[in-house]
Amino acid sequence: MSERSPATLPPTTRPAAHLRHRSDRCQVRLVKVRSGVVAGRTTRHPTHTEWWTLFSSREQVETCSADDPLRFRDPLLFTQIKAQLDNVFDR
Amino acid sequence: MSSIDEAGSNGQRDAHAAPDPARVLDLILQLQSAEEPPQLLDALVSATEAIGAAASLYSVAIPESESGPFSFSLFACHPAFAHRQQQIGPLPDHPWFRFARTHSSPGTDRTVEIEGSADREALALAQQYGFASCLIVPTPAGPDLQRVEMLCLGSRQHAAFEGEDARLVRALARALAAELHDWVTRHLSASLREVAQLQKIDITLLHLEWQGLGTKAISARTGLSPSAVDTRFQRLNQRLDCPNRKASARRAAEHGLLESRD
Repeated sequence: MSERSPATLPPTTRPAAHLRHRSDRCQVRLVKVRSGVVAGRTTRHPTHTEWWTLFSSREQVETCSADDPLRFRDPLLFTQIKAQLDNVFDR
Repeated sequence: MSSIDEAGSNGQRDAHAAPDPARVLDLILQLQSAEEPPQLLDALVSATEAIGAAASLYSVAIPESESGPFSFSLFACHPAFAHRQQQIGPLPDHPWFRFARTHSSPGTDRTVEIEGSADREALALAQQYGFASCLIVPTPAGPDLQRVEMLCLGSRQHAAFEGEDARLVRALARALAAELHDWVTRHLSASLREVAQLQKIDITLLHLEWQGLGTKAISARTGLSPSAVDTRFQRLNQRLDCPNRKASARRAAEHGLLESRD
């Protein structure tokens, strides 16, 4: 990774996508940042969790997609998230 | 792009890199300018690299009576770790969290007690994603609070955080954890304030309740009538999704809302 001086960091790209599960049980937010795309996922059942992960390459997207339980639990949301992730990476 | 460690990375970061203290401190100072969690995670990724770690995780767990623990986590590591960890169990059940719950000083993976197969599975998973050895930095939440918070730094090298050589990393990690704690506390309290649409008087009432005052004393302090205090608390309990005012005050305190009264 190249050295980056904090004083010269480029501005962060602002929000890219918000996705909301139809029953409000899962919300996903995608934001492009300097080192990739950050995905925030909020679930309320069975417990209330909010977790943020960084996808720094498309390979990581593919790896996670193959392993994402949403793929079977909620294929529509899964497809939406995947498409939005690809879209945000392309911006 | 980030070089944070990945599973199957062919060991390109096998050696534990030396920390760059000046850069780490620069990045720690910059944390507070992060507007939202995505920018904070971006900064955490940079700080993790500058410390010389392969991966990191910052997580907060707040017990909530009705719905189980609320947790907020930033994964500065391969995202698959977060996905797979969620599948094997809630993060607050992780042995790292158990360490953070029972310690106030940092410790390494060698000091984490393994209690069963679930612990072994969790640690084996972490090992795949840059946490072959780790440094756990608990962050004290404050008196009378059950909130548990920790920064966990990972290295692909075993015993990377042991001994005198790791003193600098431990010091930097504590500074990083403290700044993350401040940021996350502000974020959680602002989120709760927004979700529950709390006004200044509401926070004052919750603060007085948290101090253990009854209706009459709160009435005398605020100038509201006793019935107005009770009515206000009933609405507050609804908005905070709590069964009573004591639980509401606890929820506010656990989210850091009662630390400042602005």
